[in-house]
Amino acid sequence: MPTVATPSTERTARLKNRCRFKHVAGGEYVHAGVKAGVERARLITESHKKNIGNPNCIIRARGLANILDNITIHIQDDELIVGANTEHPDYFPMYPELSYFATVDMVESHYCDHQEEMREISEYWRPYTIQTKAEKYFTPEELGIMYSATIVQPPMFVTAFSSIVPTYEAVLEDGLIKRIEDVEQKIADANASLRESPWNAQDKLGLLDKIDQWEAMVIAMKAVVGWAQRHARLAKIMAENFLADPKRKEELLEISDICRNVPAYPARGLKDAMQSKWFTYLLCHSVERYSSGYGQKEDKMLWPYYKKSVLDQTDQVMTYADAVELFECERLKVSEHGSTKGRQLREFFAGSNDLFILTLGGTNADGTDGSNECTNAILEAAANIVTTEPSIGFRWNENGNVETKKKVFECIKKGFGFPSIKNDEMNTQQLVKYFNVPLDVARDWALVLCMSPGITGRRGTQKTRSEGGSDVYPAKVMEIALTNGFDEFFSNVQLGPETGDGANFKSFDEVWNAVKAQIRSAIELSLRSKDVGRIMELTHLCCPFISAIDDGCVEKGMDANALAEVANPWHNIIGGSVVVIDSMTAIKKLVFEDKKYTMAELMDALRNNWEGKEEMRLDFWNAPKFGNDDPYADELATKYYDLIADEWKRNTTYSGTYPLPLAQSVAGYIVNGPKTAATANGRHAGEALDDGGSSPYMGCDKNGPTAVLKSVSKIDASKHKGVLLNQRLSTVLMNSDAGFDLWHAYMKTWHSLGIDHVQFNVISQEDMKAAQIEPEKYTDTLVRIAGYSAKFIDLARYSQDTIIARTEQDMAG
Amino acid sequence: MPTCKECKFVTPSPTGDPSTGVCLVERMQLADSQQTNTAIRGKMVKKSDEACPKFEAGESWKDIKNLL
Repeated sequence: MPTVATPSTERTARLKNRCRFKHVAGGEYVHAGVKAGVERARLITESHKKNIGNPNCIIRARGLANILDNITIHIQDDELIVGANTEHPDYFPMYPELSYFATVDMVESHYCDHQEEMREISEYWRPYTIQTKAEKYFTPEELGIMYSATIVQPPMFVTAFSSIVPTYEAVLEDGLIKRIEDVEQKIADANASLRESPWNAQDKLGLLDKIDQWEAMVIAMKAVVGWAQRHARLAKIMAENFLADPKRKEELLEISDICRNVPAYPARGLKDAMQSKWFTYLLCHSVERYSSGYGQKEDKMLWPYYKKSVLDQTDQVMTYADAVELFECERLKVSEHGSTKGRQLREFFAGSNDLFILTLGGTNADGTDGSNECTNAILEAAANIVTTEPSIGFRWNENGNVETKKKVFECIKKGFGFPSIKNDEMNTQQLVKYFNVPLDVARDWALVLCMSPGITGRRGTQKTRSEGGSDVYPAKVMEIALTNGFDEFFSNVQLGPETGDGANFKSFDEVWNAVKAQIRSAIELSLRSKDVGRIMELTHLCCPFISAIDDGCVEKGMDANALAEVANPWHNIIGGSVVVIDSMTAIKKLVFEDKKYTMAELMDALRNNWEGKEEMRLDFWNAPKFGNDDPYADELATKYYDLIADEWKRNTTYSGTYPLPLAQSVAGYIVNGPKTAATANGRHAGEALDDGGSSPYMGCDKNGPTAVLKSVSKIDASKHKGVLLNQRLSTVLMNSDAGFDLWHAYMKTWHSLGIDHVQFNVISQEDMKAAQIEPEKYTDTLVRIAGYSAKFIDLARYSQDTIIARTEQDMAG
Repeated sequence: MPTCKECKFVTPSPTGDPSTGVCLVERMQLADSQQTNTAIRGKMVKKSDEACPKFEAGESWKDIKNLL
């Protein structure tokens, strides 16, 4: 049966009905009418021309101020949360200062109605972009490898992808006026210090850059306060001059009051907190620059304000139902938000807008249950309104309360694909063990992107960084390990070191060592591109507002890009790990143990896409496969995942330590399928890859859900930032009277086995096939891709088929 | 002669590099043993290359859901 949304109020029903969704398919926005807004690009360019020659932080602050002072603002009917990143609700902004290619791609597309002006703007910025600044540190061959998007994702300086966890709490708790006063005091103190006797250059000269940084922070914060005041004035003007409906008039006057108060001053109650959080989100993720994510521990952050408004009824009084409505409004605001990723990332997030993921549950700083009534209201809103975004990550703690877990179950049962679930205890301990985070701080972690924990709070969070980009693509890496590092299939480029032709390999060790050498090369190239990009960001792309709301940046007078107070590096290994594991297993067994085939025969078959070798292909297809609790395949999985962790551990990044690998896929398993030749697991050339991390290859897990969990549990997840597991559960069982009990028992097994992650699709084969035939009846049917959810009908047929192909697990079996 | 740039089967390069694209015209139906139906054989192309015999004029974004 199609999923049906049940908005809790007429307002949210109307808002959903007219929501201007911005999700993409195949790299293109799905809804007609979505356009590239030009105002941000125009205003930052105008300011740059006037301010060239100033320190970069000042140029950037004045650029932000020019945007906020002049960009068209708007408030739509029924909205309770106001503010946007563009001049029109149908638009997304452009960032000509980031990547030249990404800007040109957009300018030359049908989304851009101002092509002549934007061509001029993109050419103006070309020498200043971080792409141009970074490219000089790589050879043309290295750029060719990265830009082919084959063994690694193109670097952040060309995709313009980064992620951030804003220090929301500093804004909500302090307000910007207090922070402006604090920073101005620092400038005054520094100026006084410069004039102290005797003169000591070594102590004092460092203050010059700090003064610039602090001045930039003040410019940025004052502009933000002014921007919020513009919204306050607009709301008041609309209320007093243009509206007859007394109820809406009253709402607009309240919105005016809220925008006058926040983010200038501390939030008084839940309405203030939500508005202040939204303004801060817009600024950090899409006005000052583009950064992906919706990283926040929302139930913890909003709890003091929820308590005041809903439970204690002391400020901005509201009921539980009002709070649910506000969270429904938030979900629609996020769904309408125009995100501007480069093409590679748009292709990688098929069916999605961006990686909007908030985090709930887990524990409080003191170790008590972190779920509260606010958690339940957020989950209830998600269950009512049925939007793919924002996705929700739930921290599953053994001691978490069952009432909240039931609400998690309700969302999963409806087929949303979220909350995705992370092992709370394991991930908290990892932050303590690997990154020396104090336990109480670690306990407040939230997902930065799909499944990567990072700290939250007032300082030390991940600021604009590219941890979630420059991924390594293992299936392609293995392919070239057997073809002397050369890509014969897709790009005709030498992608890696010359490790020999697989046809000549005489032992399994030779296969293994070739794969290891290619992985090493791919890791090192992508890590270097990340760190070069980071240096370019801190030199040429300062973020004064993001810095201004971080206590550490304010204290030290440093830009957010430069300061790495809490190292938290990770690196994605995207879709294809299980193809590698299953392929290696088949080679080991059929070539080197059973000696049924030679490597020369295998290479011939792979190069010819198994043509005329169907019997041989079926032998490889039927060889032991990961996900069946088969020790033969699982042993190789363990060895592979240990290799991955060890190879990353050899390197030290800008943050001062080694990154942890994170095995997942987003839609990379779809996009990279057509770039990958036939593989030794019996897969054809161009067939989709495995859907990430430890998810068994489509149709290869045949021994039930517990066997999958047992296989996955053999991977030492503590060495990894995350290891994704997709599972598809029976709709009949999940919707039965015993549904929660069965699922809860499954989750207890999952937890007791020390597994890192799991997320579910609960949708029947029949419904998906019916949706392919009559999509108009399934407009609210969601599915989990990997790391995010999407409307099934918005996926391309090739992508839809990969969801249908996942094994439906019967928990009662 | 038309070029790959004018072909509806060629999508823009993943980086947005205006000089290259990805051709998605080659497809095959999969064997019954497989769980999905279709494989797509991608190919990186220079947009200025002369088009192949499978050329069809058009823009990939208009039919992207049937391409990928």
